[in-house]
Amino acid sequence: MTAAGNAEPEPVLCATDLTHVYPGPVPVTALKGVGLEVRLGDLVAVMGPSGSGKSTLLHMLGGLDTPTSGSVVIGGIDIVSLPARARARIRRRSIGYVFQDFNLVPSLNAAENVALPLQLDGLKWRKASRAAVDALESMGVGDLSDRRPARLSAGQRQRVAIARALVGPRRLLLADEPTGALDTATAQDVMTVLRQRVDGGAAAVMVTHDARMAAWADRVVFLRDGVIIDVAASANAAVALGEVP
Amino acid sequence: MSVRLGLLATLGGGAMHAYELRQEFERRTSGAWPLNMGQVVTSLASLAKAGLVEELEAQTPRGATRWTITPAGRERVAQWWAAPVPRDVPDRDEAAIKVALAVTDPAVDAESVIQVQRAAVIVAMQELTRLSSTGQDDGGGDLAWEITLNRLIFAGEAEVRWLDHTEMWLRRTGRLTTPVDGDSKPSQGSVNAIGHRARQAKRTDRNAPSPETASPVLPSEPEHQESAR
Repeated sequence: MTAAGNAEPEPVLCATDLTHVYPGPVPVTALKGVGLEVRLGDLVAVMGPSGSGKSTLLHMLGGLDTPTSGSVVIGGIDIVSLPARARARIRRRSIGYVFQDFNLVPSLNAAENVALPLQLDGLKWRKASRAAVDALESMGVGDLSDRRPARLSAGQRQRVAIARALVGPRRLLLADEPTGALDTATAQDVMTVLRQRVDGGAAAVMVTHDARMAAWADRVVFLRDGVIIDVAASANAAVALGEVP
Repeated sequence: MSVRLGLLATLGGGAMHAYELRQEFERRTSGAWPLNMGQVVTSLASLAKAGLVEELEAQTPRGATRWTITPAGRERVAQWWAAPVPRDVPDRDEAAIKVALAVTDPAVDAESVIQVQRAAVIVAMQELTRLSSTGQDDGGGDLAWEITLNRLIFAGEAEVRWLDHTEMWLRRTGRLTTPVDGDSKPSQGSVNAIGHRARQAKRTDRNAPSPETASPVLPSEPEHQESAR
C-alpha cells in the first residue's frame, strides 16, 4: 500500500525530539521527545488513550502550536523556528487538515470549499476551481462539486474535506478522528479513498481511537503519557493469519 | 457446525451428484472451507441414514448417484437458518490469563504485556485489511472470503477494545504498578518482534523503544467460521 518504487522518497514530514509542556501552576508535559518521519505514500495512525498527547502531537506537526523544544521539518524547512506569518504560509501551502466534523463552509458548494485555500493563497478563481474539481474527482465526488454541504451525506462531506486538504500542491494530510462521525460502512468507504489518495502521491497522519481505521495505516504509533511506546507495522500476510514460526 | 448441515443446505438448491455438491458448496463459500470427496460421501451417507437426503433413481453411465433433499431435510435446514450459531466461550483464554497473571506479578510490567498483545492484533488487522482491500480492488466476487476477512477484522477490533478497556480500568483502580525487577519485565519497550521486523524493513520512528523478546498471543484464523455464511 505504500508508494511504488525502489528508492525511498524524501520525507514529507520529519519531527525530531518534540517536547511540549503546557505551562501553569503545575506544568503538564504533553509530549516528551517524540520523533516521527512520514514520506509520500505513508499513512500513519496515532493511537492512545485520552490525554496521551495525540492531539497535541497533531497540532505540533501541523504548526498549529509551537513545541517547547524539538523540530518539525516540512519540505526541508523547520517550521518551529519560523515567524508566525511564514509558518502560516507553509501551513496553507503544504498541509491539509481533516476533522471529525468536516469543517466545511456551509454557504459554499463543494468546489468552492475545496478551492478556498488555493484562492487564499492568491490563485485565480479559474485555476483554483479547476484544481478543486480535480481534487474532488480524485476522491470520487467530482459529480457533487456544485452541492452545498447540507445537501451532502456525512461520507460525501468527509470526502470533500479530504479533497480540500490535499488540493493543489498540498501533499500532507493531518486528520483528527476523520471517521469519528461516520457509520461503519461509510467510514470504510472514506478510508478506502483516503488510502488510494495516499498511495497515489500523498502522506497522512491520522489520530484515531478506532483499531479498524488504524489498520488501514502502514504504521500505527502508540502514544502513552506523551511518549511513543510502540510502533506496529505489518510484515506479511502469513503473520496476520497466525502462521508465525 | 458439522459439514453435513452445510452440504444439506447446499443440496436444497436441487439434486446433485456428490462431486457436483462439493463443487457447488465450494463455489458458494469461495473455497473458504475446502472439502475432500471422502467427507462429502460420508456426510451424504450419514444424512441418508437420518432420512434427510435420498438417492434418486437416475444414474450416470458410470453409476454415480444423484442425491436430493427430503422434506425432513428441508425442515432441518430451516431449523438451521432460524437458530443462532452457539457462542463458543473458550475454557481458557490465554490472553486474559496472561494479563491477569501479569497484573498480579510485581516483577512484570503488565502494561507492556497488554501493549505487546495490542500491537500484534493491530498488525494482524493491517494485513487482513490489506487483503480485504486488495480483493475489492480486484473486483471482488469472493463473497465468503470477504465475509470471513471482515469477521476476523471485527474480532481484532473487539480484542483491541478489550485491551484498551482493561488497561484503563487497571490504571484507574491502581492495579498497574511499576515492576521491581528491571531485567525480568517485558519492559517499557514492549515492542513485539513482528512490529520490529516490519519497522526494520521500513523505517524507525525514532523514539520508539528497542525490541524485546516478549511474544503476543497471536490471533489465529478459525478453521471454519460457521456464522460467516
